[in-house]
Amino acid sequence: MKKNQLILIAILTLLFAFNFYEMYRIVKESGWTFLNALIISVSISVQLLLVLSLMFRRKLYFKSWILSKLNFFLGKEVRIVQSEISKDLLFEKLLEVIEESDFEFADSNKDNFEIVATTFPNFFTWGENMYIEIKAIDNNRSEITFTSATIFGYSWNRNKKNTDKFFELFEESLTI
Amino acid sequence: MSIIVNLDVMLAKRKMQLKDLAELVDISVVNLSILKQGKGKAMRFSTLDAICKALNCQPGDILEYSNEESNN
Repeated sequence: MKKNQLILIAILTLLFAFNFYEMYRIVKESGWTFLNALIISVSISVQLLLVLSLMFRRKLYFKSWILSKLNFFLGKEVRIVQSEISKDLLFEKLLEVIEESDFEFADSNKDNFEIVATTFPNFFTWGENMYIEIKAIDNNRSEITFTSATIFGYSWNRNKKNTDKFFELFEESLTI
Repeated sequence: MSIIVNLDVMLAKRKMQLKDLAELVDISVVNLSILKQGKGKAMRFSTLDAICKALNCQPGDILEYSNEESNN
């Protein structure tokens, strides 16, 4: 098991243990009231949502859910750039850029020219997803959409940093 | 751009494929393709050096200046 996965499991275990202890304490002190039941059900739902997001974040299949406007829990940042490189070549190039970056490649779809890369969770963030989509403008030009989305909660400017950093890396990589 | 990259011409003269050159100069095929199409932002001297060495040619054989395109 990777070091990052161990850290994530440790954080989740600590969080859930604390939450369940708090729930147990509330019920023990004041019994099963409507308010307590509401607090506990909301708490469990939020935790469940977090676990599901962490489980499915690496698959492009769940992109529409993560980037959905209805998913108002998550912060998103979009950056669109144009390139003179064809989309086939760009797809391969961006995979190379991901390999050289701090992002970890998670999933890709060559037919739709989509890639998803992730950042690792730590004690300050649950990690972010970086979605890359390439569209052809004409035979020689392409449009790349970088979308960084948090897995859970407000981004604290991490999404902007991610898109800026990735774009810089991409630009730098064009010096060959 | 008014700088034309003649890498494909040199590769044809040397009867070499891009993949073989990529292995010789230790640069990915993707990067060499971008360079060949003249879509790169800049070219490092170390890259030019490695390509010239591998193709046994001069920098002028690979890069050419043309003011025709810049007039368009």
